[in-house]
Amino acid sequence: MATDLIQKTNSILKRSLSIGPLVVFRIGFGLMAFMSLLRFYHNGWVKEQFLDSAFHFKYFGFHWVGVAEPPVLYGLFFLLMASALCVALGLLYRIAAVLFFVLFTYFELLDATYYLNHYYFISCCAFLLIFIPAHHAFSIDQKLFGWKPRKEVAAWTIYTLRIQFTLLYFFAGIAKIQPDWLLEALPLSIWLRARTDLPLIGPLLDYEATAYMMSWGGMLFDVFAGFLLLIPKTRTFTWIIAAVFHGLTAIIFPQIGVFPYVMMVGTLVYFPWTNLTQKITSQLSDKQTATPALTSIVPYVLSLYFILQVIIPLRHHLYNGNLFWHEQGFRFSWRVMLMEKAGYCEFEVVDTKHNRRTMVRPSDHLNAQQEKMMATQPDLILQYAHHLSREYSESWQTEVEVYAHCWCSLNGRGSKPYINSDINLAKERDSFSPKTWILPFD
Amino acid sequence: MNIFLMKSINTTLAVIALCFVFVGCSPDDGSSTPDFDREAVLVDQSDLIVNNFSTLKVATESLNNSIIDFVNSPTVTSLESTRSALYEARIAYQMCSPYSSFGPSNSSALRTELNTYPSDTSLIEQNLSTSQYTLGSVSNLDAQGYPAIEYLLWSENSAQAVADVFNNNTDRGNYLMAISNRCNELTSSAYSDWNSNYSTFYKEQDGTDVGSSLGLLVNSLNLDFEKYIRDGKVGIPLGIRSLGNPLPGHIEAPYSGNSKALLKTSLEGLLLIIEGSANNSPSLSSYMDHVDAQYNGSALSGVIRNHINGLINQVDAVDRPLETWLIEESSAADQLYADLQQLVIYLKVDMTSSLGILISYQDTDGD
Repeated sequence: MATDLIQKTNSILKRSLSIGPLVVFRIGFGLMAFMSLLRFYHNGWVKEQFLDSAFHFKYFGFHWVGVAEPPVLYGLFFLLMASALCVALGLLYRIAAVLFFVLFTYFELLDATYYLNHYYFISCCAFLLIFIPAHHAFSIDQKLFGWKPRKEVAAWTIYTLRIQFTLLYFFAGIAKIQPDWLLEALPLSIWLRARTDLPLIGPLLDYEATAYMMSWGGMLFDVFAGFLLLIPKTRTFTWIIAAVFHGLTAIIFPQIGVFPYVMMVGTLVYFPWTNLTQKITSQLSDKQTATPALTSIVPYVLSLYFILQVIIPLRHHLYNGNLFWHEQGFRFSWRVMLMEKAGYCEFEVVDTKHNRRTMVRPSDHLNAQQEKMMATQPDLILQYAHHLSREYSESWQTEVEVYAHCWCSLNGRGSKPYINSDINLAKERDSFSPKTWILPFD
Repeated sequence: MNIFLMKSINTTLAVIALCFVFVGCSPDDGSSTPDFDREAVLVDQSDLIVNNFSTLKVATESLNNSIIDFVNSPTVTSLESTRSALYEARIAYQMCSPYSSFGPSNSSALRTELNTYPSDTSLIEQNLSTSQYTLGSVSNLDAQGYPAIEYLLWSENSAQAVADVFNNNTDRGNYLMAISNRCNELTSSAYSDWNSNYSTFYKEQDGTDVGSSLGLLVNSLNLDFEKYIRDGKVGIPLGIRSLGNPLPGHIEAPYSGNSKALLKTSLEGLLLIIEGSANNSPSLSSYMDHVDAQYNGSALSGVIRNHINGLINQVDAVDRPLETWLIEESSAADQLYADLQQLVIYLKVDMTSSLGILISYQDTDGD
């Protein structure tokens, strides 16, 4: 029975499908990534995010990733842009895909302040592209190396991308099934009222009912879209709804950046695109389809990858208390535009031996975005406390204690003390175990 | 399959309904809120700001005239009237300080030009004796502006002695006139910039993103309050950045004893910009009420109003020069600092968050 199932799954994964979705995705994704990087560069963010700040917040386990010297950093950024274009063109595709994945992830890891779910998502897709033969039709490689265009690929290569998108929608959807979002229309009711200056739709955003409709509509859309896109009958319609939905978020929340476009372009991978490959004369000898073969290490890598993709967004269940408040297990979980959180944080550095103390105002050393993000994310508060501990220990030539005085407001509920200011954060270590120095929300 | 289809129909209906809302069918339910005219807030603020800059311009002009008179004939009488003209100009400046980080004030670096303190008195003495200086250069910022004028007008123990040194040394008078003239030019151009183009521009940017007028104003007054009122006027003299050792010399007006009045006015100016130019005028406060901003079950606007009024009362109770009071009444001073700190939180966290105001141009996907 079990072997039957495995064989059945195996044959489904191995059956041949048109290469169309991969080609469309490769081109769309590469161009979109390129445009997104161009916008990033044009906004001066390479300088502002990575070069102007003396201090950078890191991801757990990635403290070793540092900012390169400016000429090298710019060089890497241009190389990243070039690799995005190469992916789109299918030029030296495998190398370009690896390069794009590594460099894009590198820039993401430089400062946790700028964590965005869709940048993480781009890294995820880029990782998958490494294993996918998306360059076997409509590519420069195929001309360059004189390969015959391939009409079909193994189904699993297409499924991996579709599963990735479906997981994103689904987790984004179930993250919205919570009282604030559904019963109070929070934080949308706060945000929409701030956008009443928009032409045409602006006045409607002042209504409570609009916030409720968008909250419920958004939840239902996210929960089901990823599945409805898999079903041929509902696919086209769902994609149109998705385009409208993402288009609206792009208009109302321009600060979300390229996310709506990533989704609009990326979800094209759900379509079969058979007409695209009709002109390609089927190469019988190439029927054994995709490289690499399923017998290699690839299935194990991808299975592990998708197991992690399911576990990671659920890991927050291991922590007690309000997830939005303590944010343990919050990142990498497709929690997008779910809360209005603001905070204020100051640090007190104390030298008990010589009875010295000073207050540190983070805005003197961090940019506005860093300050805002730190004040609402405990692991970043801890990182900054450690940074101050190192700095002051050195300049005062003695061991210092660091206390954080922080207040936070969640979904407009009013500011409350956030961090236990009696605990010396210099002595606390970051880990996956619950952070006991975060004060409870209730 | 069936259940999928049903769910798909549900979703579809919800999304279609959503689209209809945007196409233009206004929902007529009881819970709807009346439209809030953010532009009216900007109009009121803009009028208030132009008015404040006008007062500053007039006061600085009259200070400048008074200084010219005093330098031409340095007497105790002309000194006294110059001193009170300085007081008026500095009071007027407090009402303009919250707008320092955007628009005309920002482009002319008004705050650092006019009000960098404490003054570097030896640099002032060096400048006036050598006449080798460039006003407005970074190295000269603490040898110019109102604080430097104050130093020169109080440089001796008695008014007569001050008048005498100006009589005996024309360099002193020339330097005083030069720095006063710079204040005059800067405030005059800040006023005309606001009065001509910038107020129009200000009224038009009626969004809440970081480049919108509300975004600019709120971010600017948050910075002003945290760094220049809480810390500059109270915290630093109290010793919060100097290992707990008070720095009375770092008070805003150490020679004239006017620091208390300047602090009080800055709080009144802050209240005015939050509450609007008159009772019930459209303001940040009425906007907070419109979005039903709450703090611990009460209206946030009221909490902020009461808190600022409480601060003003605390400052009113100061019965000696502020820097002396901060040291001598340390528990009351600590309370004042703690309450100023609480206002930072109300403004930076509660007000900014409830109004959905963005603080930076960076992409963000939801805090």
